[in-house]
Amino acid sequence: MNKKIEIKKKASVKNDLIAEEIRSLFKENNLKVINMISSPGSGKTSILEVLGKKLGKRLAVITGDVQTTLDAQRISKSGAIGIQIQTGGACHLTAEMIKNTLHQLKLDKVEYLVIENIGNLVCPSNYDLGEDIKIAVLSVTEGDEKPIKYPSLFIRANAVIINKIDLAPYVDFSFERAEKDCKKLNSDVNIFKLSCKTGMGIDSLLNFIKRIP
Amino acid sequence: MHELSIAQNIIDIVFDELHNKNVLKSISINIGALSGVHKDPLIFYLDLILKENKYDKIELKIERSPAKFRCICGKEYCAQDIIEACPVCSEYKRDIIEGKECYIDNIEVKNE
Repeated sequence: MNKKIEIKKKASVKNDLIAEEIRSLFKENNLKVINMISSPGSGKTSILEVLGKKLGKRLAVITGDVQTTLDAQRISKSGAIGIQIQTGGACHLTAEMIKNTLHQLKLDKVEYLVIENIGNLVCPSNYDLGEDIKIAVLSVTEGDEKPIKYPSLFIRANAVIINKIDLAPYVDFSFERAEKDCKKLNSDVNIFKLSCKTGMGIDSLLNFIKRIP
Repeated sequence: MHELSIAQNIIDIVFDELHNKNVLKSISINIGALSGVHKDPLIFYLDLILKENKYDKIELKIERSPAKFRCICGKEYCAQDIIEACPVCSEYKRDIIEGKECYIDNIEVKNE
């Protein structure tokens, strides 16, 4: 005769335990931690370069890509601390990967840590990396329907950056539609319109990041 | 593709719960509508990992639960379409109560 054993455990339980462990570590060091998620090419690294120029070594970035250390090099060149994770194929970062890179950082010497996730609008949204907030980045060239097409990220994002707004005159991007859909998915979301080329919107983003509790 | 690591996590949890004398018969999993997990690749990877570990003919019972919201007006409602507004006040200001998670509900075992 078969016997039923109740489990009632989240599939992500092991990741979540490590995420909580590193979150406590971040709190002990008064670090403000952001998990930045977007599709490839939306401009995450460009945004972080701009922030790196403003914050210098107060900002550390753990950046994930399938291959190369190009992003970490760009971040380091901007003045911030850049650490690369190469996943070799994995489509998202996990709390364990972050934990394993932390020995490269002096946590008490930095104020802000941004985890630049693998470019992907689906998989990374489900993994807690010990962050305070998730920021989704969407560029105008990707189209205004992205939030509603990829809701699992946008329902979880505390803030959405609409990037490359300098290109908006050349593409059919409706800010109204994108913002309306973001608000439908998460009525509390903060939305920032940004251009790394002109610097527009950077100060508002910076003020928001500084106010992370 | 993240279903592979989710499948591996599920199997790790199931194996932790299995005792020596128990023979695994079935795994019941609940996939929330907002979990971002797709049933088909999840089953594919679960089958693959189970077979690799010499577990054969394990029944996989997969249930999908809808998203459940609590509107600021107090109404609780389920929605298959994530952008369904509150049926009472048509608002979108709401908390997500259920549907974000993928979890293992139970396993069935046979004592030997």
